[in-house]
Amino acid sequence: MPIVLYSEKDSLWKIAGFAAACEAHSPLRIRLQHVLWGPEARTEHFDITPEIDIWSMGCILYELTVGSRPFPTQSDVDSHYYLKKQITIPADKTFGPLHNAAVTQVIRSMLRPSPASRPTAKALRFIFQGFLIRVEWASTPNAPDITNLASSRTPEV
Amino acid sequence: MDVLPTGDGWQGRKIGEGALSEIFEVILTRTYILTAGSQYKYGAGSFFLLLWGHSLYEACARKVFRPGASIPVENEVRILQRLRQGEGCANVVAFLNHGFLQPRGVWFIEMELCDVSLSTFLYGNVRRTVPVHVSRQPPFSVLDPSLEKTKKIWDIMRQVAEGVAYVHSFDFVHMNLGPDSG
Repeated sequence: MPIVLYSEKDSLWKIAGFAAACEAHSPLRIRLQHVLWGPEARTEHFDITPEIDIWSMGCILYELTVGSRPFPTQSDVDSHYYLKKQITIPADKTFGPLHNAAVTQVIRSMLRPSPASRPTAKALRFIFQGFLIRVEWASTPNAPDITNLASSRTPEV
Repeated sequence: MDVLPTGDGWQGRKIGEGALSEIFEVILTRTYILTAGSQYKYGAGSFFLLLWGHSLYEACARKVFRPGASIPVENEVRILQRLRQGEGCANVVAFLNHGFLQPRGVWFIEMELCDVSLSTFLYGNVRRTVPVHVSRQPPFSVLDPSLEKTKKIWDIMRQVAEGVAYVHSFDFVHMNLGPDSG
């Protein structure tokens, strides 16, 4: 059952597949296999919090940008090691007009082992909106270069 | 008529240890029987059509549950109904209908019909022969000078974040996000 779907009618991406959805802090009723769950799902007292969705979104983003899943497998107990170590993003990856460090930082923050330190979906919405605007800015013809806008160096007039 | 794949991920998948597949089919219906108008939707004819397995909707994705499924259909219905009560979000799939198909003895949920899953969009309509962790060509080359593809990444992610934020605002957790069920 696909989860992220595209509808051509209104040109929008939609999320579906609510079979496993539940309220936050409710007891875990079913264990799915081969899903993108963070390391907290492997602990003994697994408390369901919205941050587990942020981890899954981080995996999607990693797959979109890098081309593979960030962790070899998520279905075995052995993969606990991979979930704990910090993810690596290949050094030769560039993200168009965006700062590599900014994109890497966002992906890393979504895949933090501690659920409480991951950003919320609401915040991510604005982060991605900002990235989108930055890319759109760069793709407009004759747009001035704003890639160094965030740097501490004062631009020469 | 759109024919979407029934081989890879669309048929029932294994959930839990040794469990039978609860969701054993996803039928995409395109029935043009009731295009005349919505007055048929709640009339006596609609019940008859429902009895025979036709959809009330021109196009919808119908998920059919095996009788006695261990994932209760009520859970999904409850969450989708609750999400429908809010102000609504275009990035969450629309919930249309649910009910019981008498001749087949199965429960069903009808949702808005979408065209392509993210997984199919990225890798095409191919059966996965290599494990997902094997590195592939990135679906979008971020070195693309046109920037169209890298724009697409942030567009997809923004819309997914929008939908997830809406679900989270109801204090629900989706628990199964991914390009595909994997």
